[in-house]
Amino acid sequence: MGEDIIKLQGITKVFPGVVANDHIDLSVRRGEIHSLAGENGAGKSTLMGILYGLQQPDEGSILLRGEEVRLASPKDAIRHGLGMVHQHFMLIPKFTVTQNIILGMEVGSRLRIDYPRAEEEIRQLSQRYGLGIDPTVRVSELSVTMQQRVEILKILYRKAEILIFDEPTAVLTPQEIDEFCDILTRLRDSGKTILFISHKLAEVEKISDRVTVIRRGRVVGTLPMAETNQQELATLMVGREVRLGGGARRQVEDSGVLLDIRGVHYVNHHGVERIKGVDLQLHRGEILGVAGVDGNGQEELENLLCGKRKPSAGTISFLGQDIAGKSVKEIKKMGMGVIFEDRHKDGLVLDFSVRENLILGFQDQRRFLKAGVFLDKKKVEENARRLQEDFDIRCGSLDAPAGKLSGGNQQKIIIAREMSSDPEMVMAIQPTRGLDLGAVSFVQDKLVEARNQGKGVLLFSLELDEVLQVSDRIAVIFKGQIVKVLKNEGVTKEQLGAYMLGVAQEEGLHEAANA
Amino acid sequence: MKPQTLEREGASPAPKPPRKRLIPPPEKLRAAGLEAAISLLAFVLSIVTGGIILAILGVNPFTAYAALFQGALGSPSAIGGTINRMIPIILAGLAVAVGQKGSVFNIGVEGQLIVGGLLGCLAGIYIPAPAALHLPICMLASMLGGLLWALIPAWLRLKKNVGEVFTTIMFNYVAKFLLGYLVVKVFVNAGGQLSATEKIRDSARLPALVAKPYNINVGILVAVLAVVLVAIFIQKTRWGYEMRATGYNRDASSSAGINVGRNMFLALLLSGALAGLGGCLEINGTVFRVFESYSPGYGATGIAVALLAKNNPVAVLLTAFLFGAMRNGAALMQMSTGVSSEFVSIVQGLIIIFVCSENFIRYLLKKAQKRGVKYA
Amino acid sequence: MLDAVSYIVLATIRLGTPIAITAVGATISERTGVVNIGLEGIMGMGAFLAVLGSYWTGNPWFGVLLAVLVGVVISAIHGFVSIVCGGAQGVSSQALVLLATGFCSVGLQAIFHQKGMSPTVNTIATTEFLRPIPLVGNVLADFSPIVYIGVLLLLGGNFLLFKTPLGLRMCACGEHPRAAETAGINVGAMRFAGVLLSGVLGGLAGAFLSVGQMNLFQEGMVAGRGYLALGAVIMGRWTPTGAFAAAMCFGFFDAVQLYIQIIPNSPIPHEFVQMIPYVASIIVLALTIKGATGPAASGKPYSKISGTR
Repeated sequence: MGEDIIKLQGITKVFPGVVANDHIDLSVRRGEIHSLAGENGAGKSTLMGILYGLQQPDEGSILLRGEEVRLASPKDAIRHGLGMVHQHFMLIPKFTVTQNIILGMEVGSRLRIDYPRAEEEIRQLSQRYGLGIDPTVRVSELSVTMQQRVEILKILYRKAEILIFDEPTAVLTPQEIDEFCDILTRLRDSGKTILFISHKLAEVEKISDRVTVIRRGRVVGTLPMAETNQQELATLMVGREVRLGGGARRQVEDSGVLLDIRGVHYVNHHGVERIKGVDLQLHRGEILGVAGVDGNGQEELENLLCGKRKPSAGTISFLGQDIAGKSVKEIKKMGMGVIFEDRHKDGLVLDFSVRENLILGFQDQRRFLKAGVFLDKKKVEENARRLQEDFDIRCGSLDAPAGKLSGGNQQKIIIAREMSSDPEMVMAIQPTRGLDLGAVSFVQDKLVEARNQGKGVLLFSLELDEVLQVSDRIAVIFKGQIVKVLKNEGVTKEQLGAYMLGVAQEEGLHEAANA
Repeated sequence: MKPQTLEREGASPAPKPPRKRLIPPPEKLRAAGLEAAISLLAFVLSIVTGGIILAILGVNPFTAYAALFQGALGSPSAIGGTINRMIPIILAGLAVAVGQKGSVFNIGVEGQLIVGGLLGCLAGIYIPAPAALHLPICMLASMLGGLLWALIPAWLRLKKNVGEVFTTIMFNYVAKFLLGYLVVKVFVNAGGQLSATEKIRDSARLPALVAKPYNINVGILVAVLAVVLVAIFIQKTRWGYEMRATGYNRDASSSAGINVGRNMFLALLLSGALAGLGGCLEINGTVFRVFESYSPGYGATGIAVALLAKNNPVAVLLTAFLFGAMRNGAALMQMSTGVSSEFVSIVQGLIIIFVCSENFIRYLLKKAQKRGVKYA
Repeated sequence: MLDAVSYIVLATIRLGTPIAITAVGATISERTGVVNIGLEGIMGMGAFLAVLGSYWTGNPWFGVLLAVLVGVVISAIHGFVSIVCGGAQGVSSQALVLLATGFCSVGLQAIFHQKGMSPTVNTIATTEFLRPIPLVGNVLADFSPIVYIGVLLLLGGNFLLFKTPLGLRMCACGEHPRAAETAGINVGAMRFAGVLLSGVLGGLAGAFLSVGQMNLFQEGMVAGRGYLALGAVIMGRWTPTGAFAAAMCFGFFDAVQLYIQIIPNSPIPHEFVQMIPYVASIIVLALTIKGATGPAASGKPYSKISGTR
């Protein structure tokens, strides 16, 4: 193993109310795959943001190849041979692969970009690492896996020696993860240094040479992977026992069909058919997990169910009524609670107080009104107090804007609100995204609790672990179709992965048709 | 030391029973104080910059500002004039603020105000009505006029997704030409004065609230009432809640089942109606007839007023006073120093710029604070 | 009939040019992510300063230079507010309009001691060196050189945005500023470049109004052309060529309006005729807007100070 190529010393970063990084020391050797493990909110992303020049540390120093450097912007980081694949891809959908890759490093003269040359260079680079990328297509036409490879090409093109991957496997299926690990190994063997950030220990174990665990902004330890194992890392990472998968499950007496989707098609405004004949039933007292690679029609299906979009064909009956064409409001009134994926965009009005957010969508219900017009301050307050207590929302004051709360507490507001009207069904879309394990466990508990009360829970998740932990049944969505519905008994990730990639599609479709 | 005290404050208000508060909680007050301080700072900076511009033009800024102040508040009649000037400005500011709350940027206040004032005036001239009813009829007519003038932009926004900024601006120009046509060719007065309508009937005039020399008309009460009603509507009703939610976050609102398009539509119509009423109060309170360019840019002033007031209806009263005073004082300034009364527009523009740079001011404050802590 | 057509064609070019030049600038600015509603004001300032420069030196080109410079200064204010401070772009640029109206009016009285309009000054109404060209020389020479500069700017704008590295970077900032930043691009600088360019072109267009088309400055002479330019950007789908064409379309409405006004005994009152450009632009925009989506991050602030980054 080589010398230390990166050395972070005493890195500290404080945000209002949180110490994100607390005197972090980290050293990475040339030519190794070094994992940075820690749960959501432990401070991994902040640290990498600092290393990549997106944020400045309040204290501490960064040494690259033994020399102290100041990284004021990503430009500096790139200059020092750093490259980063971000968790949320930094790609411009309207641009071609070539345009995305050369951005900031254009070939040709100052006046004119030499596209043919750039394309050739990218093609060669792609071949050398076996990435299989066509440089001329638009990024918006690529699958998630391919987009990730474009990101890798982007940093290789910048001649990066140190490659940072921020939660790269979150969007991949087990099979794709295997391929991805192969790519990483190939990159290491060609002399690159890799910093791999993840909270998924299976992958960490599989590919790391060494691993550094951080917890609540502090380094807990750095270990050679050969001398440790998943269990030890898990204990280091969390520092406490966390039970996932929700609490005990009860059989519900009435397990009738709550939501019945039949032959639903959806053609979007570009004329592309995104949902191609979905049949799916959700029963009372069950959690039905929908698994699939991102972009296979989940978003469209969600929008159809909550009333944001109308199906082009087929029926969706909820509680025996066809809801195709009903508004979001009407469906909500019928008893559907929705936990949207993006808390900041769809779930909350960040400028509203916690109190106001707790009635969002219910502001027209009689229980909050005086004379049918005026919001009843007292009742709104009562509602907020009750939910704050029941759902343990920690916000200091109910007057605080929701934007000032932590992610976990923001999610609690949404769940509290959506459950507060005692809905018949809950649609939860990636409800634990970005939460720390404590909050994850809380959310899962609430979902199981709803299930035990005889509600139906439809869970959309990209995290197979989560789908397997909480679901009673699992439906796999692939290219706008439900290719398989199976009972969650002895199902493995690999099995699900095969369906998610369409490998077992044929067989799956047959079974789905017979079921 | 500081973090500790902060922590203690944060921990103390743990389980507090819900009760009515006369004074808002301290954190809210502090936040409001900071907002007010920034607005004030923006105002002062604008005055100073304006002064520098005057000096460059070779005018002694102190004499000019003194004349401005004299003309605005220096005598009972000046004060009265300022208050009367305030009236349409309050409504214009309120109109912009309401739009902003509902996430529409209504630059068309000018046109809506012109059309509203015209309809109010026509109702005042041609509708023979008993005194008790005449004014309400005029006001309703003007609100209807403003609303109608906002209707097409609102409809285009809702149905065709054409930005209201563009359409409302275009409608301002159309309103100007329409007004020009009507007062020159259709509703000309018999007395021979060009480019103006007849005077409105006495029964349609807003009575005096405070007699001469102040000569303040009842319009100010109507304006204040409008402010109060709008504030209640926005803050206390469920429709106001929906409008605010729409203004802050359209995605979250539509996800929560709020009809965003309808809210924006209604916000623009309400905004138009308020602007129209502003025109009526100006005509039926002060001018008594409509002539070709009777609005000295009340719409643009309304934008500045609303912005400085952070779209808070009650704060609009204060900022409208400020701008009313400036507009009113500008005439005397023009007479005594030769500086165009449009100088006020410069100050208004500067105020907007400084208010928009508030983040920079905040950033500087924070930096200064940090430095203070370091050296302390 | 032929007279009418040639009148309208020539007038369209003349009246469309200032909108088109501004629209090309506005396109570049919006491509980098900054909407500049203040172009109306920038044009006004440009028009005023151009007359002032010509008045002071007797050389209208000096006026054009002043107009361009003031365009840069004013748009820099908008840049500071909207890029550095992350302020509301629409409101901030509306301030420029107020500032410009006030400034021109105050300036008129302070410098020329006149209200409403300036004295007449030297102009650049014709391009004499084109006159010797056979057949079309006289027609071509009757346009101001700024018309030709406008065509060059259109070509330049297209080249900049779609061929050069700088253009690629600018467009990236309007689509996905964070991605641009992680690629090592200074988003603030790119956006500033876009706004300043729009200021340069806005100032030039203003100069054309006062010393290219007429020979004086008149209050309100911009008459919404800055706003029309923004409509042209949308209609032109955020490409310089499209915006230029859309602007010429607005220029055409203006030419029609002018033509009807000079018809003797026209039955339509001139006020209604004057409304034509404004009403027509709304109708045309409403008819063509379907499916128009601008740069994804256009109008959205991206600044460290305001925490929007």
